[in-house]
Amino acid sequence: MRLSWPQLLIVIALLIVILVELRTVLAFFEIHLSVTATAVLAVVVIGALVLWTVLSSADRSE
Amino acid sequence: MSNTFVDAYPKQARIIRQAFLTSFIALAIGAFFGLIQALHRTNILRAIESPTYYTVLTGHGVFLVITFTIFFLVGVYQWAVTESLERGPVDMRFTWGWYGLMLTGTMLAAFAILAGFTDAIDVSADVLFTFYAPLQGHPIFYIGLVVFVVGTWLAGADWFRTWLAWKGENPGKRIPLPTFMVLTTMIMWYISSIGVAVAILAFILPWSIGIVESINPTLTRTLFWYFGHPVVYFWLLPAYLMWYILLPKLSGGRLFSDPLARVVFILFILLSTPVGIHHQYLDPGIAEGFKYIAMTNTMFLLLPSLLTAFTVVASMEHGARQRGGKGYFGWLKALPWREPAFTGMALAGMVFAFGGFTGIVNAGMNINYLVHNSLWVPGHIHTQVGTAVALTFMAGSYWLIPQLTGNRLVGRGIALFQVVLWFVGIVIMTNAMYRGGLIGMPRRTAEPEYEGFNYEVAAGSVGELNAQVALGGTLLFVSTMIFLALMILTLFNGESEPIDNRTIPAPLSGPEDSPPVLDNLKLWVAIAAVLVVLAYVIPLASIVSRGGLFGPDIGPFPVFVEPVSLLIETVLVSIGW
Amino acid sequence: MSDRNTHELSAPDQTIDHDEYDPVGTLALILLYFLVLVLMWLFTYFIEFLGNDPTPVIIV
Ligand code: HEM
Ligand SMILES: [Cu+2]
Repeated sequence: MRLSWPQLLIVIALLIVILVELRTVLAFFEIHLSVTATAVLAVVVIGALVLWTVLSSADRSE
Repeated sequence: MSNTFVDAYPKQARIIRQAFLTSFIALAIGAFFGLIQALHRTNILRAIESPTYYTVLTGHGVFLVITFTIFFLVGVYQWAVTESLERGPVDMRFTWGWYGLMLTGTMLAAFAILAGFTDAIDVSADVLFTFYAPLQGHPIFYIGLVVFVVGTWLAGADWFRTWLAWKGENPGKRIPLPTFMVLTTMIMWYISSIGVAVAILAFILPWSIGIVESINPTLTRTLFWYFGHPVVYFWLLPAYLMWYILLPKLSGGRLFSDPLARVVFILFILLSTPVGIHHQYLDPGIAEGFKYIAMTNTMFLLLPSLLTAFTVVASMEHGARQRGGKGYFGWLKALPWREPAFTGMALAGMVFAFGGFTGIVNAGMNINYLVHNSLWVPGHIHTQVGTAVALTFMAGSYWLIPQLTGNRLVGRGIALFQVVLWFVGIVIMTNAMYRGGLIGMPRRTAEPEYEGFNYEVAAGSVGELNAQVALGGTLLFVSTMIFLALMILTLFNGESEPIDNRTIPAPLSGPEDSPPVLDNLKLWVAIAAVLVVLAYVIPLASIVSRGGLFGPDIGPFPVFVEPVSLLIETVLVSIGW
Repeated sequence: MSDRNTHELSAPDQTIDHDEYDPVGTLALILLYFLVLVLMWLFTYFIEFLGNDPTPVIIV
């Protein structure tokens, strides 16, 4: 585990928040992400984060 | 390790628990009303008739920003005074007395609001928490508010009295920081709540009873906002107290600077009141120049919040470094994210920092015109009092309630999830509120759709914005319910002990490093009074000279006698439909 | 020290006193925050002042 469970939870929350706000920002640059696209993006990013956290050697675990 | 607050001060713990209980009941009702609003105005679920929406919205505003916040405040402040002066009030009967007054006032106002749900009782007060004239509620509503406010005044008197007694026993000592924060907050409260007391006692109450016929709405609005801005600091300062006193400890460190904290609270005494007109940028009848002065003072008010950001973050970093944190940003990983009390307050502080930006937008006279009375404003409200304050209170309860009951917190992991859920929910809901506001969606309306008109949405669609408000609101409601469930379980978790004791580590830089003039409360009151006079005497005089004390013959717009349908008819007729 | 932090989850492993503590992390965070604030102002400027047409005059 590269991050502890609580840390993982918080990073996920921050990612959701960043995605929600980023979508607004991008829209003003004429980049329109649909809800589905945003949701897919969220799943991919968060999935990658979880895999990265869990599937690493246990040497840095708390 | 039984050295909890309740072990040391069982009698005081009891009244604090009582205050928190009242506060949490208000939170429960308010959150339920919030859910109804979020689903109703987005047309997702209309469980009530649209006219009833305003009864719900009045309840939401009053129960959350008056009852929930202020009962929590008196609880925390009673804790802070007792803990830092190491003694109880001079006379506990007096303490129960002000609590009883606050409770009575709340019950009266709550009765007037809730009676609006039924036609069986001829009482209602759908005037929203700002009760702008000529909207008129039942006199019981105003009487309740006054009794409540008098209760808070006596609470302040009680804390001053405790401090004076302590001073007699400890001559020459500096005021302990938590008590200093309590006393300065109450000074600010005394200066400002005079405004609302005059508005109600001299004008609105006599008018709602029928002793006087007419009212000057600009005058009562101005008096309301004279109090209305400081009241936001009355919500915020207990949260600040918890950030300064609890957060450093919870991070594993010490408060960075005691003197800096004192300076911040003094700045709030000085600057909170002469800014209220910034809520009235769009009110006719107040000269632009006065609005400009209010704007300038408001921008100065950013200073104490920025100082707070520095001091509190530096204290957290101190904790992180003591726990072995390294690097410019790496130390963040060393913070105790497992502790919900810590995480909740840290997230609340973060939302506050960014929500503060939307406050600067509101405060700018010109940009304010773009967002005034739009859904942007509830967006701002929910990031600031609805999260910076509410989430800090909930997180703080995860530490305080064990101290006040002697029971270990039930479900620490769930509590962590709860605060994070609130954080996500608020961002989802307020993001849509801000965006809705920018395209001109009004606030305070049950049916923000208009016939023959389409909002020009910059991104996405109205349907999407609505869905986001409803989703965010639902997450917030669920989060509130989890919080309340954990509180109840903790209350009954008798056979256990808290994981922490009541000690608060001393600051890195203590009161001995601060100039004694900071503790000269009389001086600060005098300066604050001068600033208030400068900011308000001329505007008030000009409002009264133009409109008269009792107004240019403005009759009531009663929301309690006539049936609503009749009212709408009257309005339609009067605008010549 | 009598006022040691005893919190089970957050109690420190070592003690750092006032003189050896230099809040560089706080400085870093504040700089980051100001940067974001500046970006947000730019954003506001472009959306609100350049992005909006004057209020349309509609005569019914
Ligand atoms: C449980 C979660 C909550 C939900 C779903 C919610 C929802 C809403 C919604 C949709 C509105 C806008 C109504 C309108 O303008 O038509 C609103 C207004 C408001 N909310 Fe909340 N809210 C919640 C929690 C809170 C909290 C915790 C606070 C403060 C401590 C708060 C304070 C306010 C205030 C002051 C208003 C403005 C009332 C008015 O315009 O008179 N809300 N809320
Ligand atoms: Cu204000």
